[in-house]
Amino acid sequence: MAKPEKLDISVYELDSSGRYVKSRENDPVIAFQDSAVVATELPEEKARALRGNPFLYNAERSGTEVYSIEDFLVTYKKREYLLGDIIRNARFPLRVRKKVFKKTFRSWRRDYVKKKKQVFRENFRTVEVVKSIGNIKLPFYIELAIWAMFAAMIFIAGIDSPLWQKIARGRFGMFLREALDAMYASAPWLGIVANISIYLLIVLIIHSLFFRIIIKDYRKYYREANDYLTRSETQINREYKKKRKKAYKYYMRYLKKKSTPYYPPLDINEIQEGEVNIEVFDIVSKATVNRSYRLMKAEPALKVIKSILLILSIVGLVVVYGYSIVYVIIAAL
Amino acid sequence: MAIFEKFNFDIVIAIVIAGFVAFALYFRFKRQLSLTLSFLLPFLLIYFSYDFIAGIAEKTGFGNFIAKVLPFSAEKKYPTAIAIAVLTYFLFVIIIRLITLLFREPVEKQITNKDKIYLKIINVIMGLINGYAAIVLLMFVLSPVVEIDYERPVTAMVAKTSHPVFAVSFLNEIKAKEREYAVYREAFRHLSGEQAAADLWAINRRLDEVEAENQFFAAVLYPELNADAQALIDSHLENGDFISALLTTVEEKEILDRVIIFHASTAILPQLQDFRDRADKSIGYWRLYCFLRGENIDFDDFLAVTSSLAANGDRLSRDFRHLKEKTAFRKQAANFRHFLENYQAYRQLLDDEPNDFGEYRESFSALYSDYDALCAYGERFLTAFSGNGDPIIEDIKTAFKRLLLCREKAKAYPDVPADVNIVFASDDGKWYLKNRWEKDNIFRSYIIDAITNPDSSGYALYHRYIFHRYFDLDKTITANALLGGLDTLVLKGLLSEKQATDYLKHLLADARSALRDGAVENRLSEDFYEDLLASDHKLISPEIKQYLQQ
Repeated sequence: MAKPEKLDISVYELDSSGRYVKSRENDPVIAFQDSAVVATELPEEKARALRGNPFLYNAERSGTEVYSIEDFLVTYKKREYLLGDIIRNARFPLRVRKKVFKKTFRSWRRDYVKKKKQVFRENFRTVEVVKSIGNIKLPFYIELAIWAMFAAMIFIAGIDSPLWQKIARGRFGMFLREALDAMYASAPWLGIVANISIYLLIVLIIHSLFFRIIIKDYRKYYREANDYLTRSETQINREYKKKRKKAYKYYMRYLKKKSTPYYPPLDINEIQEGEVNIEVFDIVSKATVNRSYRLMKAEPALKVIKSILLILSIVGLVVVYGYSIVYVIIAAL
Repeated sequence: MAIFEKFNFDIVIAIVIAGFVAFALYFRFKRQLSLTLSFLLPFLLIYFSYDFIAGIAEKTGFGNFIAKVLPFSAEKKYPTAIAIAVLTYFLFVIIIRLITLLFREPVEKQITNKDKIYLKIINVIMGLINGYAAIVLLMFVLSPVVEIDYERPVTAMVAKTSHPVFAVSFLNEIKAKEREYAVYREAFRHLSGEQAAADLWAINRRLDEVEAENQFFAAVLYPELNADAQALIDSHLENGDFISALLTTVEEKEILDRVIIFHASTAILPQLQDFRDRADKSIGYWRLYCFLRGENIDFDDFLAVTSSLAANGDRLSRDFRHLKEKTAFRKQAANFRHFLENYQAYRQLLDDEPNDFGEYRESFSALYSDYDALCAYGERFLTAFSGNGDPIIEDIKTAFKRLLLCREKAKAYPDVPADVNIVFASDDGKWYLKNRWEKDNIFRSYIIDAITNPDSSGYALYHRYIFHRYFDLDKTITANALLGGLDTLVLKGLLSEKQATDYLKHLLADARSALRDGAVENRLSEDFYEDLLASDHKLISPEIKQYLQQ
């Protein structure tokens, strides 16, 4: 017959911050767990949360307050128990307690690895796909050409400007100005074309500036998100391994014949996910993909708008300059 | 399509504002805040630190270096001041960008923290402020190359809301005042007949040259010609008008050319050829001379000359070979046309109803120096011309409307000419009270460049501003009062001695200077120029002395 376990009792209780600390009471009341708490006694929402994986637990996002790994539910002989109710219950043989603990840990590990692989693989794949976005931006030489066109249109349309007044001090300048003045008087629609072209060019400049910044931001964001994802994968793996090992060792130390059953439960903070976790990883990568998707969706429309603006501006420029050149040549003859 | 006929800066404002609001809606709050800070904060920093930075630039020789590098700066201060301000702006932008980088959110926070609705609203407000700043910058950059219509409602609002902290907006205001002044000045000159008189004076000056040529030919060349040539000229000569006779075409050749052929190998040929060259150079005025003499019009009879030119301006302008002269003549003819069309209406609105053009000008001379009478005339003018769309009349109406709005402030400065007074009294007279340009290096550079260079766009207005605002002038303006005023400016550190001397030089020598304004000219003391010449004042340079001696 097995010797009764030595009762060197230390009683732990939750302090105000939710951590387990040794009780200072002289005569602490110890609830002797002679019957396991079954899941049916828990509210459904809490039970659902406790059926989860402590390594994926996040206090901020979970609606259920959990203090220790022992608060999670495990199934034994088709009934749900809190893990602590099994591994601390002397009515279960040590062999059974060890078996349940190891099995539960293996299950949590499989679950965690599966989820992690799924998130990492899927997200890296989609993030890689959206890498090529960013063709909305105009090439530098086109932007330069737009600015040059803008300057040219402003020049030819503003013949009453102070600049033209200075130009007209010279003989050729005065001839040009007079000729252009006569041209605008004889064909008023040219002035309208010139002014509309200037407005279109301003829209085009703002459009190109806008999308230059958006694409620049997007690329920076993509790079940072990608870096973050790569960095966090390593961090998540390392942290998980460390936490799992620590928890496993901790409980296995006490799941021995001679060990005391009155050891403090392992705080959930020692187990739960850190700031960098699979969920944040998932959010970051999904947001990256979503943002890219939005850009991808808008890309054809933006390209069409860009092309229309560019074509109309070029047409305006060609019409006004073509007409002016012909008019000036005729005036000079 | 009417909205597109003239360049409309309101449309540009709408495009820019729409763009900036779109930016604001797209960006997250922190990104927008960072953009706003790096865009706007440098203006504030420059306002507080510019003088210090400009001082360092001057001490280290950096200012001189920039002045040498800038090809258009010459001795001007303003381009260098602007260049230093622009470089300082970009320096501050870099510093602010680096500081904002320190407070950047990690990428996961950027994604997980979504902007609340009130942050979006703040974003839009920041977008509007940024848009406003961009518009003011655009206005500043475009104003030399585009004719911006400052009468458009939104444009007018942007142009009027200036603040020295946002230096660009204040520079826009300074430049807008120049344009305002040009409009008012021209409007009042048209109204008073001063423009028509000046145009006629300019034409008469050229006609006098032709008359001199006529006399030269009669006295020097004609007696040297052979008998055939003299007979040919005599057959077309009337009332001693050799020019008309010489320019008469006989068998497809002008008599002058035939005369030259008659003297192909004589000693007088070079003189005749020079005469021909001079005729070709000013052929428009030579033909005009012939026309007026043919019509028996006395060149000094204002109404006769202007009526004739107004009626025949287009035909006569075709004789001008040089575009500059042709354009000027067409403009003069148009001015005459405008004046003659409205002369009676303008005259009837005067209290004293002058009898002739001379009295008419005197009436206006008196009217411009009596603000109550001028305002009363303005009210009558606005009623009488309420439906008139003539551009010159529209400008006159604008000038009167502005004057009536600021009549009390304007009356406080009765010796300042009306066109100048409207510009500075119209915005609560702040230019008479707060002298922002004195305190800030950039504005001071602009004003100093303007008053020391008659070619600058701001010369006409700002040298008058200095003259009327800073010189303690009595009803009679003496040389001592003028020099004393300049001394004060130098003592205050607003002008260097060289700048004060330059200002004085142009004030005395430039045809468009304040001293040539009728109202000021009448106030100059009898010995004004003699006193200046006799003075040993340090600001009177040998160049000025030389001018005074002439």
